[in-house]
Amino acid sequence: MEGIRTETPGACLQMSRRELLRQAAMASALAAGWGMVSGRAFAQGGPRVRPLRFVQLSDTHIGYQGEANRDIPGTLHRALDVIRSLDPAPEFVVVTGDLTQAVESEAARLERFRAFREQMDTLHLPVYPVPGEHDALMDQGQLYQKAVGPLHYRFERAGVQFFALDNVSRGFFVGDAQRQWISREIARADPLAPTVLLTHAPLYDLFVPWNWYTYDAKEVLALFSRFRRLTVLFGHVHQLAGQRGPSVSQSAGLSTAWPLPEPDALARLEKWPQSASDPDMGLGLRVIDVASSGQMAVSNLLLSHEKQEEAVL
Amino acid sequence: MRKMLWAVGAAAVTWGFLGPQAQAAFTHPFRFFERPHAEAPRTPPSVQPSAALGARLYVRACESCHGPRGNGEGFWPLPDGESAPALDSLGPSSQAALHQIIGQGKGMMPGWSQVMNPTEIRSLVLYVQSLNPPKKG
Ligand code: HEC
Repeated sequence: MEGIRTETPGACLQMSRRELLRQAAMASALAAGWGMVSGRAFAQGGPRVRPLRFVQLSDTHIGYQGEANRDIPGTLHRALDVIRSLDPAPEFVVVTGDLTQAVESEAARLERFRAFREQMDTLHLPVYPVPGEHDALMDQGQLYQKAVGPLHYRFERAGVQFFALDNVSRGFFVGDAQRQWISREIARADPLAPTVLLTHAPLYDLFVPWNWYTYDAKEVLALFSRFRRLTVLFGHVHQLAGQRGPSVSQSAGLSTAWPLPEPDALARLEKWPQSASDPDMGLGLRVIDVASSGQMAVSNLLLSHEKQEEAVL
Repeated sequence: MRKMLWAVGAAAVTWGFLGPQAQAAFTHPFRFFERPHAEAPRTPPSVQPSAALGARLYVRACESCHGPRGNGEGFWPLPDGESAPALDSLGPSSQAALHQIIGQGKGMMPGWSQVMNPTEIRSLVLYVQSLNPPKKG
């Protein structure tokens, strides 16, 4: 993992970075293969699901200007082109936070939310976002609610239940008030139906020193303890990462803005400058196909690869 | 025969009333043993607030932004690229003021009363105070 932290661009380094991503995708595919087997063993019963395809975009950071990505809107534009070219077409897009890059001026933040929406509108698909700390931490989500919509909500598509949660606007936690809302919604939800939690930060301790966690994740997941097929799709960490538990799979989507290093104890989180020879290194999006059995297949589409990496949750 | 029908009917109605949660408990009884119910990370009210408890909570809740022992060298830059302030060189601040900012937050400082009970917040106040011993002389 040394190469990935080095900042000098060079042909052989590029190879190792690319190799690293490929290996990460392979590892997730292997882990997922196991999941498919174990998933099948429990997959009887429960309501029917209509096969469903949707896309997860994450961490688009609209408004960022700097060396980590010298063309933020351009990269998002290319990601949207990939979405447009999908066959079959997805039914909707979820965006797991950090739609925009934080900035002090409220007018500038509004303009960034507007620019994000304008680009997303070109897809002509429903978009289901959750806030990231860049969108919501500085004012507890007040502007986000005006410019984008509610901080948390629930929806259902094709027999799959989605809970869009906010674990950033008041700190890296879900908090008492929202947990009470979840409890009320759960009473009306079906624990046998496939259920997806959309969050920005992971619902486990991926790396606490970099705030790659949710303080009350255990309490939140305990609320869903009777749900048979629970998947958490998160963002925030700008790389392929995840965790598979006995009853919940958690998995991060790729960013369209910049990749981040792997956790490193006692180091400050820093992004590295965009590579000149491979500007799309580590950037991408993912396509999620839900089968009628409720099984979810995830394809991570790297913008720098034509080939796609497959995994199953 | 009629009794049987009644019994089946009553069972069906009961089933209908149970709702999806309880039905799942019946159809998948072993789900309840699959995973121990996650423990809420809360301190029981019988525990007294202490700087030691505050120090423990600090590592998981505060160190990312404020750095080890409040030295201001956090591992996570704030969204605006700045760092959260050091907590080991605070000017004179009352217990009430510390309680207010830790519990309710301010700007990008989270309001921890959403996930912590009064004992935990009091403990964090004691810990932050212990990082700022009164100056001698
Ligand atoms: C997400 C980053 C973040 C985390 C996590 C965080 N803080 Fe803060 N904290 C801040 C910021 C930013 C400020 C400055 C707020 C302001 O004045 O606008 C601050 C201010 C403070 C202050 C006031 C300092 C002063 O100069 O008056 C105290 C005390 C404090 N935090 C304690 C804590 C404690 C205790 C925790 C853990 C329970 C914690 N913080 C967790 C970001 C954070």
